[in-house]
Amino acid sequence: MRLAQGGDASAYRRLLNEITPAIKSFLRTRFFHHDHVEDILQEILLAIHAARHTYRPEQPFQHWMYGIARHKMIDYFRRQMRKNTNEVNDEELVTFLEDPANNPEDALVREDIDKALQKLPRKQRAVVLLTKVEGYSMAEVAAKMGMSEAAVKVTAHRGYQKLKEWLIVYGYR
Amino acid sequence: MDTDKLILSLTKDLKPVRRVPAPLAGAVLLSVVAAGLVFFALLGLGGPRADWLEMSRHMPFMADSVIMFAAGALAAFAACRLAVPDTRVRGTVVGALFLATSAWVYLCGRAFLGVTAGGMQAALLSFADSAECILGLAVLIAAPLILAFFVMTRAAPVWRGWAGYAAVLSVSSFGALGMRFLCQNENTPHLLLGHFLPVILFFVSGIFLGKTILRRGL
Repeated sequence: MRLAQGGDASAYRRLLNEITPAIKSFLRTRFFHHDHVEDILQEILLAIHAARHTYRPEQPFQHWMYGIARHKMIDYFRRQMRKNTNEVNDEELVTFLEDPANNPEDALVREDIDKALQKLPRKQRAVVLLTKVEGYSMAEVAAKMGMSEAAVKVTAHRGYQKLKEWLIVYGYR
Repeated sequence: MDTDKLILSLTKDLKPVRRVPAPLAGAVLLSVVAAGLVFFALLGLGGPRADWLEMSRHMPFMADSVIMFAAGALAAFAACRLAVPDTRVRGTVVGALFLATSAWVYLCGRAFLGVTAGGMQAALLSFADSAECILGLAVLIAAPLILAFFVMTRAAPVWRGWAGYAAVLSVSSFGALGMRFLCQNENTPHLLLGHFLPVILFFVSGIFLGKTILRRGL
């Protein structure tokens, strides 16, 4: 990085190529959706490029790099949370969970959804069932489970995402 | 865009960059500039108090001045350290901020213990005097505060709340030092209401300012 700060393009290219797998593996342990990893990785590389004048050689490079990576990752999470407020984007999944009796020929699909629900952590399963199957509002679920409404929304969102992932594993798209 | 293509575009036509100064050098620079700007603002507000030379021989006055200066310098060091990315807030930064904050808690606490109920009541009744000093403090710190935040957004702070807190603590400390050389009222309730407590309010609000303004950094 010291050489890159001096304008050495080949050293900089080498550096970015070397840190890319490390940042990827850092992100993969924190994201369920590996599609997002590439997006965030590129944001991090751009941030590293924009902030390269702030690196000082007496500071360990990894602290500086992971400081930026962590910061951009949190920013990304916050943006995603703002986008996905409290509704899952997959309308078919929502409809199906809310009214499975309408499609008796979908018994096998229902079985797969039940299997996927069992894979969820207890709290996420409870929130998903209460909100989408039993029809409680976020506020009501929060009161029932002794959680804040914001925590319920986050838990619900994570539950829906994991549910979708399991359904993809079972062959649904 | 493919990551490999991104790396190629970032490394193409790479220009050298000027590194940010080391935290200690940055702290000295920030302290000098902040104190200088406060000094010029003080001149603009009519110059130092008539008895400033006499007061500068007064031990408690000078001791308070040294405490304020030290708080400002320590917070400046923390702000410079926080202006660059790191995985966590380091012990040296926490230590510097703890000492700087403790200095102000000490000044307020000592003043609070020195006031009587009657004295405080009188000070509250003549709050206009304190309000004038609060306004004066705001005027003294305006330019250095804008400069500090401008410089920090050009760096890359990731702990924005902490960075804002440190920047405002530093600048407010120097501003308060300037106010001591401006305001002749040595009344303890007045010092508490018009000088010390406003500084605490300012630098606590620095957390919010940092989270809002320094978002533009990285």
